[in-house]
Amino acid sequence: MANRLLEVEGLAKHFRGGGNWLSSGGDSIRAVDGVSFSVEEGETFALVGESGCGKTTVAKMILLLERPTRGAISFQGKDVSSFRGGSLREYKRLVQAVFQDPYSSLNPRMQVLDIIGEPLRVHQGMRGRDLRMRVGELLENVGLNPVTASFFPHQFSGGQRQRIAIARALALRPRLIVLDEPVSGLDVSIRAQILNLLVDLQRELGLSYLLISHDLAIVEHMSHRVGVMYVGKMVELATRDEFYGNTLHPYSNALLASVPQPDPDVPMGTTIGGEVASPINPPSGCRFHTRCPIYLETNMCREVEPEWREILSEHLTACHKVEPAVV
Amino acid sequence: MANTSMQIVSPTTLWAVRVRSVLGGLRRAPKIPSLVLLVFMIFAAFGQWIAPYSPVAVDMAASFSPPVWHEEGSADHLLGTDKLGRDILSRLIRGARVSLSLSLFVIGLGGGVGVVLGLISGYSGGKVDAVMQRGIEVILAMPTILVALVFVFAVGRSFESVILILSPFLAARFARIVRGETLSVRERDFVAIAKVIGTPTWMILLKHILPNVFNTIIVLATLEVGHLILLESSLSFLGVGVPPPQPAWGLMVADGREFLTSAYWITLFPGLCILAAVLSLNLFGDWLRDTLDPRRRQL
Repeated sequence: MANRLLEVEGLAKHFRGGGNWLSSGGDSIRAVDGVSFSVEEGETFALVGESGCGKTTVAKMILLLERPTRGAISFQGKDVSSFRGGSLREYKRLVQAVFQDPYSSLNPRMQVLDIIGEPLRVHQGMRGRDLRMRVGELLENVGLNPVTASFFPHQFSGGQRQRIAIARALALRPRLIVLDEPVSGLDVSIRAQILNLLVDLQRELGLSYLLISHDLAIVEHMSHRVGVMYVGKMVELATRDEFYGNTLHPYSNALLASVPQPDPDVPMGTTIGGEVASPINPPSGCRFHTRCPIYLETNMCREVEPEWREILSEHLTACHKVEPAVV
Repeated sequence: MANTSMQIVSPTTLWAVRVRSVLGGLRRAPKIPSLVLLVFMIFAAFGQWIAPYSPVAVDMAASFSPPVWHEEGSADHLLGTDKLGRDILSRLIRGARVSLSLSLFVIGLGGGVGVVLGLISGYSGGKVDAVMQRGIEVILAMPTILVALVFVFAVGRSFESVILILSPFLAARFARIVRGETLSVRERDFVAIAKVIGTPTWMILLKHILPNVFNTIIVLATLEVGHLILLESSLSFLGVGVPPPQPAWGLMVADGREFLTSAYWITLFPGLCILAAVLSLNLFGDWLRDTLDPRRRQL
């Protein structure tokens, strides 16, 4: 196994609902409730799930935008919550992000030079000619003309804006980039360009990606390992080939079946009914039992929370109906 | 990467874009409001050499003389005189300095403090925000005129005391509006990215939040100048404004009020000046807002 870059252990985030100092507020929202996974050097780990399953909250905790309620994040073997001063700066240098909406992620009042130059100024105090050189280089790396450094964001298309956001994330030569739905906000026609750019950059620079997406086609194209989340919990984790070839959890099966095939003769797979369960009051036992197609009227699924077990080598899932093959 | 010189972003281009957009913006500046403001600024700066008379020179023989286009009017006093025979035109010219500088000082002091407080309050949220907002509500709940009356009686009537008492009220108004805007801007992704990068908070406020709330500040400032000129006249009317015989437009309106039917010119001309200044500032502010917004610029 390659070197472990990032490890997340039992991570949880509970939001208190609508309270302030006058009223105690409602029930807490358990957006993330005990999630564990790791990202190795040079790999892409994909986190998939329906909207509201807590995958973006996981990303925010890794990026230190939210404080975890429980659990630990460690980076290169060190606990992230213990980082102060210099080590915190180093973490913020090595971990960068690209967000979904390229319109909201670039300050409309800054020239591209200042947008891409911000991390370089903050961390390396770079300015003048050095800064312009480096920004020009970064723009070329993401396939934009260095002349555009004097432009403002509104002068670019969505795809070009996302390239600028990627250039900014690359500026400090990070180890890990969190990609939160990096192409969902783009036209289908340019998604492939951006994805290929990301794959090329990973190969050239040895980057690790934490890819957050609900699009299973993109995940199959880009990732090495896949984790599936449902209502704040991880339900399955496997290598890409295992996941797409030998899915174990009924929720993962349902997700895969709901991907439309570009062939009119292939019948549409069975989709699961019902709504995503609410994280305010998650179902008892297995959280998926309210929608599960293989759920039987045993009390097991309804009352006992399934264990997170390794079923095959490097293939984990949490389901009562799946029996381990390796012991 | 065959050609390294290609990678250098030319500094001249960067500046050319900025300079060109400023020049382009200037060419589209509204002509009449700019002219009006320019004239008032010249009056404010060089009034003592432009005004034909001293603004405080009393000439009882010439009291209530009407403007030049009336039959009884004379070319000595183009816009007539008030009840003490002081030349209206001279008082208008010299009054520009008092009215404009009062507004500028209050906007600068009160508005500046208000913007800083609003940014901090909106960006930090939580308890800091709650405490600051309650403080602001207390100030906004107080009747401006009444508090000003008490304050000016306590510390004495002067130009400075009027600035000092009006500034907190303006700061509260600015803080409240800037806070609201900050709340929406801080949720934008570029602020989250800046935090991920590790940009210091003061720099996030200065480079990311402030430029994006600047539109609102400009519009508010231009609106408040008008409001302040009117407030100054209310205070003058109540006898706690800028002390006479200093000429201020609001004070002149107040002076002429009792002669409105017999000598309208004492009130009309300073009133027109207030109208022109407020209207010009609003139009000018609109243009400034559009010019500062890169999306509205046509490059």
